[in-house]
Amino acid sequence: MPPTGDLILPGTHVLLRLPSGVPKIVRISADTTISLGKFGTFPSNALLHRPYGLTYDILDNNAGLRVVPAAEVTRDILGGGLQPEGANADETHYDLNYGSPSGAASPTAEQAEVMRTNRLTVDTPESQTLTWEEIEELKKTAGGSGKEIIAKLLAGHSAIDQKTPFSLQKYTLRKASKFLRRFSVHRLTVNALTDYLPTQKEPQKFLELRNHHLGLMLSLGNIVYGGRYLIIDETGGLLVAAVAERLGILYPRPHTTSEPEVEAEDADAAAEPKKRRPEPTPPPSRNTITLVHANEQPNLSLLTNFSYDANTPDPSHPLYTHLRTLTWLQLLAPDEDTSLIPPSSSTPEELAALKPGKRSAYYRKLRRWQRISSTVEDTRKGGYDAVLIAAHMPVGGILKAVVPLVKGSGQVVVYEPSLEQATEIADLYSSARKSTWIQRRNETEEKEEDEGKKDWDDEIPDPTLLLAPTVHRLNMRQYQVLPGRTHPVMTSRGGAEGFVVHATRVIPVQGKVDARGAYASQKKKRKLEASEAEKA
Amino acid sequence: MATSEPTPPQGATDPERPPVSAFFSIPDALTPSLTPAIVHLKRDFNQAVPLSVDATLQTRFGTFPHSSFISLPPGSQVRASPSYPDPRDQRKRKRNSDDQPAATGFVHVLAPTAELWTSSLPHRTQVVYTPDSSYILHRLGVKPGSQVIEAGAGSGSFTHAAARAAYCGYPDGRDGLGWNGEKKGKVWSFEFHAERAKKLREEIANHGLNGIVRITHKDVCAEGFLVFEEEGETISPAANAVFLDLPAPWLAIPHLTRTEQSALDPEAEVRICTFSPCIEQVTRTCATLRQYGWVDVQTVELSHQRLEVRRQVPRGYDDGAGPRSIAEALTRLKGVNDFREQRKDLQVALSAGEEANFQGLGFKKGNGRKMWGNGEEGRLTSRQEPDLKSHTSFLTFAILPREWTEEQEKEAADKGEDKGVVGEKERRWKGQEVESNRARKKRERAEKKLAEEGEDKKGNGQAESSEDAVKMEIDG
Ligand SMILES: C[S@@+](CC[C@H](N)C(=O)[O-])C[C@H]1O[C@@H](n2cnc3c(N)ncnc32)[C@H](O)[C@@H]1O
Repeated sequence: MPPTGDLILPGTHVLLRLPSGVPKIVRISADTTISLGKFGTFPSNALLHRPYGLTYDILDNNAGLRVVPAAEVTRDILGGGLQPEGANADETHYDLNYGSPSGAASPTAEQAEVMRTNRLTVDTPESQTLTWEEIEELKKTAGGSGKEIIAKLLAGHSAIDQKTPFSLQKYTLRKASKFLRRFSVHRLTVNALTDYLPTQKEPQKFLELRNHHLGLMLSLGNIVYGGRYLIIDETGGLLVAAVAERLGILYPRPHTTSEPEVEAEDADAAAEPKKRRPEPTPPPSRNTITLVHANEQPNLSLLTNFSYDANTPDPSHPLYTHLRTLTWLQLLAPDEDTSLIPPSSSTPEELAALKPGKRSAYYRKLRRWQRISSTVEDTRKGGYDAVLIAAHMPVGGILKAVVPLVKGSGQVVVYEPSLEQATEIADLYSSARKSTWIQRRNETEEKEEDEGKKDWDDEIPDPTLLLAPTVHRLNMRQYQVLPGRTHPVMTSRGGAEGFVVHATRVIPVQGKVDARGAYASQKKKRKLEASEAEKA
Repeated sequence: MATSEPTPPQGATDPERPPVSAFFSIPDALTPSLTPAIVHLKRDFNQAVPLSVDATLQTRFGTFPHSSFISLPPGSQVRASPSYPDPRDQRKRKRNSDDQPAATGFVHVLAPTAELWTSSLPHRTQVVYTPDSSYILHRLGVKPGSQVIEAGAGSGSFTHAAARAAYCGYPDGRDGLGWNGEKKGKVWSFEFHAERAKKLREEIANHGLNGIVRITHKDVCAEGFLVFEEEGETISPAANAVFLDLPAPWLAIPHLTRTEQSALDPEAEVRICTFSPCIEQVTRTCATLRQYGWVDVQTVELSHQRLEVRRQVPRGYDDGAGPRSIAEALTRLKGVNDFREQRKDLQVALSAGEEANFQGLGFKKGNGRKMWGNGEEGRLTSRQEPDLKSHTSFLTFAILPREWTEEQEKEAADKGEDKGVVGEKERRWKGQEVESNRARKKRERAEKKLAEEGEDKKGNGQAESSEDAVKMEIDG
């Protein structure tokens, strides 16, 4: 039986990590050659139908790959094998004296070795006895996936026996990351993509979003399978990808599985007499993402990494039905959007009279209109479980537009690169603004029946709709944990710190808030409002 | 085409098919239930309240009969019942009885979420907080259908967050959410403290999470992660994600291997996270992980702060505070000077028996009461809030690749070759052609650059190394 389960399938994007730590995204299709620059080339077929997480040595002359056993991977990383970490671990841990029962015992021979420093080590370019040309020559001729070079370099190092075990280890590691023709292959998750992006793209393009921000947004947004989510994403699709991953709709389903997912309410709809041609199955009403975008077309370029091309989407991809997009114009002023004008209706006779080409063009247009207008109608109805925002434009106006579309107790989560932007949002919902708003509303309530057209220049949202806006600052620090060499890794890339602002959508009590004894009428009033909202 | 709204699953009262947990789906209205509603009293003050028809909630903001919550949509702001005296009012009235009557107290009543539960749960142990759990779940790649091992369950904070991430419908299909016949996501939770395990089991049942979370009372360090069914059968969680919040995670790791009776999914890579407050624990954990074949071992630490945002409105001398600006300070200093001079003059005049005129200072002390304004004045400032959680921890992540035998490798290799028999050579040749084109351009560019650099550097005779060239580093 051929291997099954979680394997690399043709057409998948994977992440390759080279010994130097450099990540590389590669699309694996059958019968091609993959080049890793100076590290060599190998046939793509050597990765297809193999599992994720393995490490390979690149064999010489495009001959393929060798699976490196985990123990060997680890040994080469540690530079000295597993032994120091094993049974008698304490022997080599001289800067970390953990778990040693003999804790503060008198100096021993081992501790004498501790004192061996690199004070006397003269390590200059001259201490490498191989010349530059010799090394170049070696690189061309030496085999063994780079191991021979490293061995020769070590042998050619005149000061090698003056080195402390640590500096030797460090030296070996550094040579390994340069010459070892080795890589590991990883599933391209949102986590992996987010780590990869800063090495490639201009950080502003994706608002410098990092994994700890995305993770926090997913949790605070209460993203859960089955929910409906409204997303404003100006990062090229990174936020959409993260939410889609959490909803289980990001990765293409293997083509072999039977039918597409059937949801109960859809099953009911399917039980009805078959509708005519345009829409074979109604779009799912749960477990969906609605994206509102500022340009004619949404920018979801990062989704191509997950085999979803927003311009020519593959109908078998889960996002095809679970992701809808609409423009701000369609959401806020649908009457002014020409794409929402229904195609001139034709009688069946008229249609029959049309040429086949024209007729199918008509149906195409009709279907497009049906799709867009259903999305617009569905979005304007609101009732979203959460809205998540990562945008370049000021968020005040966005919140004014979208917070009312979130249902009571739903979540509102905004990512902002800078502290100033984050505090501005929290300030829009300050208690002082809340009281002012309520006061003004109390004063004007009787006079104005209809707020009329909302003015989008005034980007001040209703501050009473959100509860407990909170600004979170989250930072991550990496540690190197190697025997006796545990320390924080210095990885300051600079750039934005990143903040997540979170609040919960609430339904404020109606009427004069400061009036007493309004309790009895309060429920009535809310019921009235609820029924009105239903009608709307 | 408009889609009809799905009927709210919460409406169901069929005992065979209990409702979907309010943790997974915000109900349309609050109903009496053992799954608590969360009453938000004020910032950081949430109370989990299972609603029942005739109970009453006493708070410092007033008294709230549960009936005043029931049938409201979650998220509603609710006013305290006027039929009960508001304790806060009474206190206030005693203090300054001539003050205006204080507003009636309010609370907000919310649907529960994992985060709200974390902030209101009864603490039986240290718990994992949202900033950590959110990162862990994201990085472990927990998604609908995941099988998650968690040990120890402790107070169930992480359990709820993990259950939400792995959820993709109930095994009994009560929510009508299909997952194409695939396995339903599940959290396999282990706790060796009998009382904690029992309490958590009750909570999980009350929260409607049975079928999504399974609590097993077991010492995982001694006995591993297999689950015993009542008939004496053992079942494997077949996990693809593992979270260990134990004092000695290295004792549990040997039970997470790819053996015959493995607790892990044999057909997937497994991701693990261990959560330890001390670096010594981390070192031992990393060593053990590497020893048992885990790769990509990485340790991180998250720091989290919440920021308090305020408007800083300068109050000035007239409000009983300092100057609003240098200009104001100067005016005042001049005023003080003038005052002194005048007083001197006055004294001189008085001693000379003359009539003097005295203007006094242009600054009054105000009453010091805070001006509220409309929220748009002053400068926007932020400061760190005191942290609620008492300790941070190190998170260690690692991956255990799927076991891959030589046999499997051979089969996979065969599979690859089957596809490309026809035209395989040609296509491969094409692939190389593309690569070599690109490589050639790159080489030409590099050569050009090198040549240019060579020109530049000739003067000082320094052999500039290209990207690939060896440069000897000085050991530090
Ligand atoms: C810090 S608490 C876990 C808190 C939990 N992660 C949460 O978020 O609420 C650690 C728990 O692990 C349990 N524990 C410790 N050793 C164990 C073992 N060997 N097997 C099972 N549970 C264990 C303890 O009883 C304790 O409840």
